[in-house]
Amino acid sequence: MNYASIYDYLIQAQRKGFLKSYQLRLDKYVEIDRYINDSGYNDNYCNAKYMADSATLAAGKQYQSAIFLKDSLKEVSIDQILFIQDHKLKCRSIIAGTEYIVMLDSIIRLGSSVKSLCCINTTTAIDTSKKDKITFLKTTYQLINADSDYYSKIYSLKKMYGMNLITTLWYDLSKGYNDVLDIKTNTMIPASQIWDYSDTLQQPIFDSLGDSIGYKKIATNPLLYSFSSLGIYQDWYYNITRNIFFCKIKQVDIYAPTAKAEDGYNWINEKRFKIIFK
Amino acid sequence: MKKLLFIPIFFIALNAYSQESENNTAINKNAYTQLPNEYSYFINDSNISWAASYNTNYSY
Repeated sequence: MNYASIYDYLIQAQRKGFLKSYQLRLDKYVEIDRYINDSGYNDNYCNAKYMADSATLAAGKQYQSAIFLKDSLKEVSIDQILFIQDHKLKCRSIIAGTEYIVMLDSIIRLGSSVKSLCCINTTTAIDTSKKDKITFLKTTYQLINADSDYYSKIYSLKKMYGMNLITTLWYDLSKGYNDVLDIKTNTMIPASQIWDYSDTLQQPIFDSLGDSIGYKKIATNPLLYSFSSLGIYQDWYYNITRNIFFCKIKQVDIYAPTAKAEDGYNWINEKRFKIIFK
Repeated sequence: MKKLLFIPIFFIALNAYSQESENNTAINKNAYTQLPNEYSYFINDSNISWAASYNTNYSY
């Protein structure tokens, strides 16, 4: 691809016509070039024709300088489905769209919006054939909160016994198909100890006069109940032959509150476990 | 005489079948049917224990 980025490639491919673009508002495939020109979007991916900076605005002149906006926005919005299949966390991108800048005539930037959707993935299989041309885009790291499926970020499609994503992954680890590493103690956790895996704290023992005479080790509640968020490493690829995005997840991090001091205070929410998918 | 009775019945059935197929092609021309029916796949597959859809922006 002789383009600056995948963002430029998607827009140019839609305008030249070899990549189908889809308008949800019009309920049909349209020519993206005509649609964008009708709605006032120019080559700088912005609906404002004349831009002005503070110096020229003071002088009462306006001239076209929206190139800096074009460079500032290189975002591709991807609708994807996360799922756990065959003891692995997988991801499938359904549809993608390029973001355009929305501005008022009075040069106030409202934000960005998706004008067209493309790269519709109609296949259920993620694997691609060897003849396909594939480019690697980048590796992203994304945090998903444990309670995010109760709010608006994640729309849940399927659950197992009401468990969230982290708990389902943790339950799957107890079958022993994947490795999990405790970063704090730098040890691999056996599959038999997954469910009741907990921290050990030192609790002081006092005599009748109130003086501490020693410590005893106690076990906390199982860490399963205090998982806060999940960090996902996603390797993103673009299949030029089929015009679809796809990604591979090799490892994830589980965040849990960890006692920094051994007295049981100073709990800090930090990266605690690392799961490596075989 | 019984054989003659089958002829109009055959044409009525053929007419009904052709109307139904026209309706099917009209539905297939709708662009929504070109979108994947991803939700049924994720719900019906017994190997999938958890699934959710979400939207994120990436700057490549």
